[in-house]
Amino acid sequence: MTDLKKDFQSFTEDRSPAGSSFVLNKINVTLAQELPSAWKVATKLGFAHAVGTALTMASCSQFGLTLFNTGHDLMHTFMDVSPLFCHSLCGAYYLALTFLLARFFLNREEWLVLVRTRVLSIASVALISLGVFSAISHEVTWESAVLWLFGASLGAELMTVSKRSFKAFLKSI
Amino acid sequence: MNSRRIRGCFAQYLGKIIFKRSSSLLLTMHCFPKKDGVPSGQMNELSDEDLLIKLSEGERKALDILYLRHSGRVLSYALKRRLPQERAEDLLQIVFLQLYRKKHLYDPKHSALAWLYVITRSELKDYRNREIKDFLEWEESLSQTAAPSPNIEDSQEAAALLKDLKPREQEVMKLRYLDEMEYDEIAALLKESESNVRQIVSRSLKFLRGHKAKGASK
Repeated sequence: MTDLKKDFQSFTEDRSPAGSSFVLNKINVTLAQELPSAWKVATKLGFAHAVGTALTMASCSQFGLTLFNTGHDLMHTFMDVSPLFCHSLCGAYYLALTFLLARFFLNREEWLVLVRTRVLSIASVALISLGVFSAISHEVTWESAVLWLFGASLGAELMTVSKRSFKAFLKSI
Repeated sequence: MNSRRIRGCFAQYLGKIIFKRSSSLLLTMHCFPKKDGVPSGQMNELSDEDLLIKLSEGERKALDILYLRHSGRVLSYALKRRLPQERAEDLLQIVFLQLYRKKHLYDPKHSALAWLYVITRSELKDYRNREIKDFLEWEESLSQTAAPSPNIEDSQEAAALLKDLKPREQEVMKLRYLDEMEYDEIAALLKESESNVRQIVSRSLKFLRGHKAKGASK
């Protein structure tokens, strides 16, 4: 135990100059090769979004579009909470589910790639979905679209925020 | 009618609160990256612990800074343990690759230097074990191919050659070179593991070679 302590102490007290930049380059090249490709991440996110779309449309209609016309879905509950923000809540539910699923489908490195480009990922997923909805549904208006986008961004953001950042946010309140 | 109105007002009020709260949340979350997404110039000022946290968030630049700060330490540690320069650099590369690959396992409660020390120590141990294993395999391949294996023609000659070995080793050597059995067959016959049989053969050959060299020098 004391040997280990001494060993650690000598390790910390060592002031040798840094290793060669050639080794650092080799490390960076190896890590670059291990980095998941953006296309793979985008494909997996697309798959997660497809599953998320099916699940959302089955439980909460988006701009009047639904998978099963059961008569009562989450949208009505959101309407009860706030008629004004029901679109926001629907959007939040939709993209939160997509990014929650993506968290399961992507491995750690792929998830990091997604998180590092989260503004682009969230914006592209939300805008593409909104584009599709506006092409299919007549209920999409400027107001509802903006509210939906706001909710969708918030939901996705909540799912991509790191545990540490979330704790920092809670502390700041 | 009145209660519906109250409910409506309440819903509006709730909606406004949600909007206010969530917009501030959205803004704050995008403010986090102020600390998260530190420009690479400022990253030099971060502590080692913060750099490891950055690394766990996928910030590769943090690894470069950690390398500049601590690679000398790791290299010197390897050299002190009598690793030649080339292999010490090899180990240095492995240590920093592992530091990146195990980034998610780092607990900020502990010092970053302790974490680096643990990885260095464990990788050095693994490196040594790999070296020994490679050497044994190489030696074994030599004993099976290029190296002069004992040419045992009959049991009397074998007995003379193997008399200095332990009984168990004699038995294994006889099975291997006199009966020309494969390692797995010997292992099955003697109820030993195959790797153990290989080790016995390798050890015996080493002993016999040393014995022979001593005899020749005399």
